[in-house]
Amino acid sequence: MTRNGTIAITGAAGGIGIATVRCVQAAGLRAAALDLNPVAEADLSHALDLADEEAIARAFEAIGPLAGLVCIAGTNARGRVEDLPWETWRHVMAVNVRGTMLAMKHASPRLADGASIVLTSSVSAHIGTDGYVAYHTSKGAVLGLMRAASGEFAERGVRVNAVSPGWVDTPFTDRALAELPDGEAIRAAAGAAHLLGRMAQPGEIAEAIMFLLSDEASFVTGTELIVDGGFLRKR
Amino acid sequence: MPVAVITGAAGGIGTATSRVMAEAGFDLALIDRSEARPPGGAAGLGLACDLADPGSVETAFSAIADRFGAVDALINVAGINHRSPVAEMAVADWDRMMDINVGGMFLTAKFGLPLLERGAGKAVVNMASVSGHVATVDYPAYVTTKAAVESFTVALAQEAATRGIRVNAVAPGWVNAGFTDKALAETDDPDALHAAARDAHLLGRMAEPEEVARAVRWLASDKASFVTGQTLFVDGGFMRKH
Ligand SMILES: NC(=O)c1ccc[n+]([C@@H]2O[C@H](COP(=O)([O-])OP(=O)(O)OC[C@H]3O[C@@H](n4cnc5c(N)ncnc54)[C@H](O)[C@@H]3O)[C@@H](O)[C@H]2O)c1
Ligand SMILES: NC(=O)c1ccc[n+]([C@@H]2O[C@H](COP(=O)([O-])OP(=O)(O)OC[C@H]3O[C@@H](n4cnc5c(N)ncnc54)[C@H](O)[C@@H]3O)[C@@H](O)[C@H]2O)c1
Repeated sequence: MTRNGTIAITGAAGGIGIATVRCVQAAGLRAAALDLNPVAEADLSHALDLADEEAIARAFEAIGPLAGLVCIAGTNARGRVEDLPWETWRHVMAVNVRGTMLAMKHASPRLADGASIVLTSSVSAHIGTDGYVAYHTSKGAVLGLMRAASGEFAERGVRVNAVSPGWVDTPFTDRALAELPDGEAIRAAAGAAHLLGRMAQPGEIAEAIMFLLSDEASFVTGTELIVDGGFLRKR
Repeated sequence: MPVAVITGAAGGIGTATSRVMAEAGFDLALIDRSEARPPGGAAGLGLACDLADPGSVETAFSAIADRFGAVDALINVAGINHRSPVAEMAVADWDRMMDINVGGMFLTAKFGLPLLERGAGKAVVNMASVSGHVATVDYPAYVTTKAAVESFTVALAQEAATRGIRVNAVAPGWVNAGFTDKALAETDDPDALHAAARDAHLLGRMAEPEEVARAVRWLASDKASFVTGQTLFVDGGFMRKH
């Protein structure tokens, strides 16, 4: 386990984010939050929009040396190919893909040799739910970004991996379901979509992130850790 | 004390896994062709067992049941390798590969699941390989068995989920352990093979067996409580490199 230093966490105010902040602190590390919303529990908190490169640059400048980077921030939007507004598509890509890339870009000069980067994809990179074309595309792109970056960072001994959750019990899921007329019925069926018969708690995703951050995963790079309770395996 | 059953425990990765699980506070039941001894004075039971022989596996698991009553983690590391192109391979050699590398996992699951059900840990971890995804030249039987290990992992994850048991696989690249030693012994140019084994990874080196063992331990732990039916690559970026 990386024993000291600071871990920068985007999306730290969200469900998976705050669980990760707590795990990072429990491991004796400092948590630096980057989110639209401030994170009182974090050791450092920068409220910013990941669509804004200058704000990202300033935040990483202020945060300083890093033992790791966790990119969790993400946004969802409904829309099909035939009706998705161009601006909605661009916003999802700007946050989920470009925001992740820019966080890596500005974290890069501050990452210690042997540091670890964890990105957040989704089982959505592997399936298609009708009506979320931008989100699915963006999560596939995060995997491409992870694979590309794993080669680039390997020369410094910096590992780059992704976690892909199935359904997680967070505000993200609550919002997505609230937008649907049959949202409560879908929630009731969500557990049964996993081999383990339930959604994940955010802490279970945070533990997978912690593993990938830590020296326990010293030979793990360029890979996707699917933490989905068997969602993709269930038919 | 939680109990881990480890097959192939006398081998390179098996020894490292035994050590790492003992460090995590597990009692060990160690299976190999001849009796494996727990590393560094750790407590445990060594069992001589041929994983390709159903009677032998059944006997081993009844000894485990007698001694421990329950099992928390079943870790299938044992495996063999056989170098031969398809055109030249004896059918008996092909069968032996399938029997040990895949059939062995079927048998330990068959006799181990009732014990896992009684344990608290409820985790199975199987040793796969990047060779299940890329065709290692002249090792067609090995490549086939390692892909089958992943399919078996998925199938068992499905079946065992109803009993609360998680089943996952770990896929290493090259590891500084028995398989690599054997490949080095079989080649005319060990230096070239060594360089190839190093350069095959983004991280520019092979794994030490402990690095594989620590990933196994994580998957076997409650920290991986929402991970099932998966293969975790512990390959230093082998799959990403071209
Ligand atoms: N909840 C799930 O079921 C689920 C499943 C698979 C993947 N994921 C992924 O996990 C990640 C986190 O999910 P969550 O469930 O914790 O979501 P969440 O909505 O609770 O948290 C997301 C966080 O990202 C922040 N964020 C969004 N846009 C931002 C922007 N432009 N700039 C800065 N911060 C921004 C939000 O403020 C929020 O705090 C996301 O990438 C999501 O795609 C979630
Ligand atoms: N070393 C590598 O580079 C590498 C890479 C990827 C995957 N693996 C996998 O890791 C596992 C262990 O590899 P290793 O390098 O430690 O090999 P190893 O040869 O050192 O260990 C394998 C062990 O399995 C035991 N075994 C074989 N057949 C058996 C049988 N019928 N019954 C009981 N025990 C039996 C052997 O006696 C040996 O102790 C294998 O499954 C292998 O496929 C190894």
